[in-house]
Amino acid sequence: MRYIETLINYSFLKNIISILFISLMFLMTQDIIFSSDGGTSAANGQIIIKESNSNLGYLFAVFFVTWIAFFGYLFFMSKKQENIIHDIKELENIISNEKS
Amino acid sequence: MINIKNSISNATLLISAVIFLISLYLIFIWVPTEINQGIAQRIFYFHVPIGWLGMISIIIVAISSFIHLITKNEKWDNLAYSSAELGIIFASLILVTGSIWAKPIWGVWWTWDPKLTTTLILWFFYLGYLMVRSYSPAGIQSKQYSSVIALIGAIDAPIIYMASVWWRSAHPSPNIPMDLDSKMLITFLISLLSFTILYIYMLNKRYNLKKIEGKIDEIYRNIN
Amino acid sequence: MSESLNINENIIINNKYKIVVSVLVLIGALSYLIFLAFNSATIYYYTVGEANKLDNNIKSERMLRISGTLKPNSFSREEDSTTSYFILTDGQETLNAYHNGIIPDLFFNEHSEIILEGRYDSNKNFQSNNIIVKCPSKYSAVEEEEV
Repeated sequence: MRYIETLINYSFLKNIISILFISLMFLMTQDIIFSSDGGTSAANGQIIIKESNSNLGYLFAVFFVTWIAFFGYLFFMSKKQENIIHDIKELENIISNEKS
Repeated sequence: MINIKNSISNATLLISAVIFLISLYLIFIWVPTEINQGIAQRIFYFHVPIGWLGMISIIIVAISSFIHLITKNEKWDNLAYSSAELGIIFASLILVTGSIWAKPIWGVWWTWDPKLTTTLILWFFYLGYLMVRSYSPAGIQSKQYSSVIALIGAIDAPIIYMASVWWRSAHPSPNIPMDLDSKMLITFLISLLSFTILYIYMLNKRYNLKKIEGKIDEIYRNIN
Repeated sequence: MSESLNINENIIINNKYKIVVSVLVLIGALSYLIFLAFNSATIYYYTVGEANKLDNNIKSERMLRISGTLKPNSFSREEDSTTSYFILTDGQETLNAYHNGIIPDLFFNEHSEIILEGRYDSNKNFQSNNIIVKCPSKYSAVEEEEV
């Protein structure tokens, strides 16, 4: 039973860490979102500046898709963990019923 | 023992979080912008590490399935299954991130380029593996069927890797440009490291869950 | 007891059916992919020179991909029209082509390799349905500038 409780606490801690993590990332990347003027001027000027502006959205799309997938999977695993805890409780009930 | 394992796992998560923060700083701010592709080239630092891990996954599935076939040790089957589940996530991400990169640069979301086609085939191998596993009754047979799928699927991984070298492709010919700018190379390596550590963390988590699930199933079977 | 056994058997039969279906789906998808990838177009694209040497009946029937670079100053588009005319070259031979629709930005980059997807029209000009821009495999950094 102790072990299960610590398990739950651990995953709670992890959720908090992940929220902190996401907000940190957001703060960091904000810089780029709002200060982006392309920032580049290369040999054939106009085309590249236009490009890097419109391209930024694609980079963020990749970034978010990746993280949504990873967090989705971690969420799926924590659901599995809950199921396991539920199963263990059920087994405990069965055993205590048999004893009595 | 459980505590040691748990703290190792937590340490892995922490390390991977720190390295991820560093790599995100590098990708979004530090690394120079590519001259032709502009900012979209930075998708490279996501796409290629994810791609490599997606290909390595099927090899892990195949090797551990093979060992399981010989030794009949459940451990290896658990590892194979966990790796396949991660594999389909990474393979889907290869396709999606690649597609998002292709749109602004190539001009299309999808084309029947050999590398894309073989990657899609890999995705179907993962899907087939997981479908056989989830639809079949618990027993040795489904594990054998799925092992065969994994073993054939593993052949696909080096083909994907070499596709742009062997055949004409819209992908650049070496997967990583030979003379990559040093800042770009550092960013790429850090990003690869962070994705790999996260991969190991998730694989370990899934493996442990799978092991416990197996044990619970066994207890249920003994009770009934 | 016997009832639950029956249910179990039913589930097993049901699942066997599902396995067969999923394996069939897998095989079907695979063979379709392999067919698409290696049968309909044995190579992903032809160069301009190779395309010019192709048989006339292939030219008139098949969807082709042709790769080359944009010949400098060959691009033109009439005003208020979405159709662009341009010439692809592989350094020696050339191909007259036109495309109706949006042109990707990197199309105009001198380092880009262009892959056109489409078919020859009756005048032996290439009608492109899709433009795929292949970027140079070398990544070079934009020169740093003080902001």
